[in-house]
Amino acid sequence: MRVQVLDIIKEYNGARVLGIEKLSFREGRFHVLMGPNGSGKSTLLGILAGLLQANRGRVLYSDRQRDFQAVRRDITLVMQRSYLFNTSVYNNIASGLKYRGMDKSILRERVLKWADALDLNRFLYRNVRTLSGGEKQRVALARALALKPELLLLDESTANLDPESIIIIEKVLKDYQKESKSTIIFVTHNVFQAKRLADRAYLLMEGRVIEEGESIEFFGNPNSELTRGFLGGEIVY
Amino acid sequence: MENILQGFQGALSLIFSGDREVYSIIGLSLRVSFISVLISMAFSVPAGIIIGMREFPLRKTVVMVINTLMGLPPVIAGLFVYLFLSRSGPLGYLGILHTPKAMIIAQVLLISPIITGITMASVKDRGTLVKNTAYTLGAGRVQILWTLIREFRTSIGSSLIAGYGRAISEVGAVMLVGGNIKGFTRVMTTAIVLETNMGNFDQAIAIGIVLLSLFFIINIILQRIQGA
Repeated sequence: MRVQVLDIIKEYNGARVLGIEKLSFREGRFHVLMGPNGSGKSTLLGILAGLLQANRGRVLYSDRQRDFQAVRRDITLVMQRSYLFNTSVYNNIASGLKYRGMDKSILRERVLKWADALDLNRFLYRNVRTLSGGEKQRVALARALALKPELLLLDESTANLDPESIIIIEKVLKDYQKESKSTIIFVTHNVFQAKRLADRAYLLMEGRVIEEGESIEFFGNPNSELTRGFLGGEIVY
Repeated sequence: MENILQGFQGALSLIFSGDREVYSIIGLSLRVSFISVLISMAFSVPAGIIIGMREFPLRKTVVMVINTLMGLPPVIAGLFVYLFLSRSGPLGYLGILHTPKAMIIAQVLLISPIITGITMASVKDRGTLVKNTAYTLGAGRVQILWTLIREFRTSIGSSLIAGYGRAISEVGAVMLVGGNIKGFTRVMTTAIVLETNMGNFDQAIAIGIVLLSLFFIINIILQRIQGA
């Protein structure tokens, strides 16, 4: 799914936290957003996920330039500390599919597929409260991927996780992108992770896009002094 | 002391002999309070969720009113319902004063702020997170509401039990609007008052034992729910 952000402005109590004239996310690509705290990354993701309303501007989805409500069920968001429902791993992964009234046999097939991909088979019928942070985040990702989203938004979804969970999640995301041709927008603070995942990378600061580019150019030969500073670890976040 | 002991002996024989009057009083108490909780639950739980999670003008005032009404003296609720349902009142034409229906109205008035208040407090912190999660997974409005009820079932369950406890133990309001009519609107609390005044301590103690036992059961259920 292609996404176009046009003249978006978001303010809280009169203070501007996001001001983007034009930004495009192309279909089937892995986009990585980076930037220091308060740069507007999560706000942008919130707007794309329909959780926040911009004060001004529009977001258009797909080549047919549809608005959010028309594509709502093709989009999903995985947060940094995702909330998991107080039930089993199986029911959590199935929750979005149940909202869509999906047939039980297809539902089961999808749940088992993603539980297997994210190495959750061992605790499928355990309550999620008994899981570790990394396992919980894998459940959240399985729940999102089971929906086959055309636009997958991830807000620092691997922050503070154990290395094993990070490796599993990164592999599953890359495989999913290849298999489904879905658009992925991934927010991270971790430059090394961004390099590993990004087809295209973006740097946001103070609510503005400082630089965007294809992964090789962005990381290898950034245009902006600020980008060089950020990638080189001179800008503390 | 002798009175009390005799009262206890009489009470136990009344309970175990299956005295019809005692059991009809107990049955009516349970029924009226149960219906009150059901009616109140239908609007108090959604109201608690909405007030707890949404920002709207005068929200603080609404919360303050609910918190105040949580401690509403039952006799005031009874007086209010009495004035509305009495022959000269605005709803006097319904002719339901001194019926179980009037008692249910009074109890609903009394317990709704409790159920709303507890629900509101429980969803305040995590409610938005649950709602956003369900929303990003594609849930519609009704599905989001159902998800919130399911996720906060423990505290909502506690609020219903607390409401039931308040309803069944209340005496002032049901006395005023029910009239304590034998075999029709007499419930456990009003019966205890009447029998004590008449010196029938065995009847009063028998009903008191049942009421206490009920409270004990309600508390066990409440603790189970909270510990879940």
